[in-house]
Amino acid sequence: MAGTWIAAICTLGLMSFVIKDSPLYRLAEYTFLAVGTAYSFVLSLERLNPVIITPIKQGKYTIFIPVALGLLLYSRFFRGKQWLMGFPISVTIGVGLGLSLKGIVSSEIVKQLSDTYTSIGSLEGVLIFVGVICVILFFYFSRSNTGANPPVLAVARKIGRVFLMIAFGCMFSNVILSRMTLLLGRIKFLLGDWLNII
Amino acid sequence: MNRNNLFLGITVIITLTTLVAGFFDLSIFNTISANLVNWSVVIGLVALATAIISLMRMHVKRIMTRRREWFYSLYFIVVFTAVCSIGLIYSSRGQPFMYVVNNILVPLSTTIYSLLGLWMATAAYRAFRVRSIDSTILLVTGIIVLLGSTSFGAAISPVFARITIFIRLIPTTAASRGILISGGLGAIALGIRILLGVERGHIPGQSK
Repeated sequence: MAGTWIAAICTLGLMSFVIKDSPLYRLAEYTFLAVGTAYSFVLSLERLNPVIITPIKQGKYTIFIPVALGLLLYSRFFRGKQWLMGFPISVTIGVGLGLSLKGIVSSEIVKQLSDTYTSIGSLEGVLIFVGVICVILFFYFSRSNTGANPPVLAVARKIGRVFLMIAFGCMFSNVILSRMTLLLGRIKFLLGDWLNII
Repeated sequence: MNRNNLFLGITVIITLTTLVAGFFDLSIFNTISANLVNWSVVIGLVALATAIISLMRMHVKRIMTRRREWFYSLYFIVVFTAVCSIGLIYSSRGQPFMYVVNNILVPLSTTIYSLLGLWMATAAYRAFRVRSIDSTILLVTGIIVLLGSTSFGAAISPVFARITIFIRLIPTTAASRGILISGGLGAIALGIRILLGVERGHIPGQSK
C-alpha cells in the first residue's frame, strides 16, 4: 500500500512538469537520478566478487594487471599525473575497436549485404535491393549533394532520400506508439492501482 | 618514443590482436584476445568509482558554495547514500532494495519515457509541418503507420494496416539496411583512422 502511494507521488511529481516546472517535479527528478545512479553502482559493486575477487582466491594473480590499469584511471584526480590515464584508455579503446570492427564486418556489412542479395528473386527483394543501393549512395559524401554529379547518382540519391523519409516516418510512429503505451500504463496505474477508479 | 606514440602503439597492438583472433582460428591469439576482453571488463569495474567521485565532487562543491538550488544536491547525496546502503546491506536481490527499485525507480523511469512521447509529438508537429516534399513524405508515412497500428485506423479502413505492413516490410527494411551498411563502413573508416594515428581523441591531452 505504501509502495503504491510512493510510486503514485513519484509519477505525479514527474507529470507535474506538463503544467509547469515545480519543486515537486525537481524532487522527483533528483530522486530518479539518485536512485538510478545508486542502482547501477550497487549492481556494479556486486560484480566485483565474481570478476576480481574470485579469480584472486583461485590463484589467478594476472588479474592484478587490469586492476592496476583500472586504478590508473584515478590519476585524473591528481594534477600533473593525468597522462597515466592513457594506459587503461588505450587498452579499452584497443579491445573495443577490435571487437567492434570484427562485429561490424560480420553483422552490419556481410550479413546485411547477403540478406539483400539472396532475396532478390521476388519483387519485394528487388525493391529492397534498389532501396539499399540508393540509401548507400545517399551516404556517399565524397561527392557533394549540391555540386555537379552524374545524373544516375543524383537520381539514386533522390530515391534514397525518399526511402529514408518513409523509414524515418515509420520509425517515428513506432516510437510514439510505444511511448503512448507507457503513458497509458502510468495513467492506468494512477486510476486503477492507486485510486481504484477503474 | 613519446607518450602519445606509446599509447597509440598499445591501441594498435591490442586492436590487431583482437582482430586477428576474430578472423583467424589461431589458439594463441584467441587466448590473448579473451584475456584482453576480460581485462577491459575489469578496468571498467575498477574505474567505476571515478564516475561516483566526480558526481559527488560536483554536488558537494555546489552545496559548499551555496549555489542556486543547492538543497537539491544535498537531497541527491542523501537519497544516493541511503539507496546504496540498502543495496550493500541487503544485496541487490534483497526485499528492501527491490522495494525501492519497484516503487521508485521503475515508476519514475516509465513516466519519464512516457512523457518524452508527448514532447516528441509536439516537436514533430513543429518539425514536420508540410514545408517540403521530404517532410510531407515523413508526415504522411507517420500518420499512415499510426493509423495502421491502432484499432482507430482499422475502424476507418483496413487499407491503413495493409499499407503499414508494406511500409515496414519494404522501405523501412531497405533504409535500415542501407543505414547499417553505411554506418558500418563509416565505423571501419574511423577504426582505420585510429589505427593510423590520424584520430587521437582518446589519448589524454590530445584534442585531435
